[in-house]
Amino acid sequence: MELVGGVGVPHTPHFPLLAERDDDLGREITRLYAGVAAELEAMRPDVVILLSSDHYNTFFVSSLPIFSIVTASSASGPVDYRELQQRTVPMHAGLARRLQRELVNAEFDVGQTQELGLDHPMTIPLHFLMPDSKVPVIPLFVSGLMPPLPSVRRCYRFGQTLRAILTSFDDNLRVAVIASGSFSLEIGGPSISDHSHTGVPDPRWVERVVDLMRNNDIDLLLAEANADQVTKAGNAGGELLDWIAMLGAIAPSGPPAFLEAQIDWGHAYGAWHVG
Amino acid sequence: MSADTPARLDEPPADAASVGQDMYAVNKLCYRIVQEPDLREALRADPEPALRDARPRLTEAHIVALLAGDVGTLSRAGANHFLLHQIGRFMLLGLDLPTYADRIRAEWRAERARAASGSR
Repeated sequence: MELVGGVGVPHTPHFPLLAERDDDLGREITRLYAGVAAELEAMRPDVVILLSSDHYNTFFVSSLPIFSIVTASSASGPVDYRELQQRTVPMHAGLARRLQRELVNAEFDVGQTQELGLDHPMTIPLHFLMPDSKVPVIPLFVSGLMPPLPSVRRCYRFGQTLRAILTSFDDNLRVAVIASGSFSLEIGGPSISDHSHTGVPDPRWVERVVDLMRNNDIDLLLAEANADQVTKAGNAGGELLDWIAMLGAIAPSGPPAFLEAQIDWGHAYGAWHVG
Repeated sequence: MSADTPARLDEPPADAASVGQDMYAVNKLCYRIVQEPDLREALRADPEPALRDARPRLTEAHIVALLAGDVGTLSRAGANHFLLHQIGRFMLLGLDLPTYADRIRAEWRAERARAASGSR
């Protein structure tokens, strides 16, 4: 099995509607997602692993795993935005079960989610990056929103371990990784902006993360993305952990093929090819 | 209590006067608002009975705050903001998202002012 690359994008729920508008923001959203989508398409994946943080839709009322892999054969959504276009996503349950077993053997205690509705952090990236794709997806939850969060180094090692396991399998499959999330974002809390129910509490952090990623300075990124910084970045700042796990899996050897920040939104769009 | 009976479902919090007690009940209500169209409809039609029927039970202080759309108090008491803002998103309890945001900002502006005056 070959790990061919990784990408990262945000998941603002209204972006599909905003992208259809003939204005500057609509064109910007379309251009940024399209830039990443082109790189993902060039990776020609047979399977996609989708790293995402549950937005209180799957785990809030049951139990909260730090990592959990979806072993369903398909799932539909977005269940938290019924007004958006609904889709059913094919999944690779067999590979997901093998991954879970080997991750647990490698001392990552990854839970298993057999039943779920997809929420918007999963469906929005797929909407833009794989709109008509039949490529199976394996969603993998990283607990980025509900404290205590896993450490950034733990998430990076998780990605490294994921890659080691995938590349040890004999299957003739190309695997790409999608990370879903923002770098600085507040939803509904004390750090919202003066004009919205959301906000970007630490735009300089967004720039800093993007600079470090562009320079492939992963060690410094892991050092600076400590718990205090992630908290300062807002109550969704932990979504960076999904990107960090993706980078651990990719182990970038050079600059990204695509990387742009969308500072006013706390977002970034990036793509890395392996090899 | 039998092993299969969740402790929280029918037990009112011991201190029903404090809005900070058992924010799980408020968070769960907001979670259900996202998941259950029937609950949204009930809250639109007649909010007070819908709130009194909620399980786990809301305290009187929760119900007073919710009926007043006082998300500022619930925010400061520890409600989860990913869940709390759903009341505004679904335009329930007299709120919409701009009103929700105004009340959160006002609450935390006042909180910061109190903290600043206390630290002088």
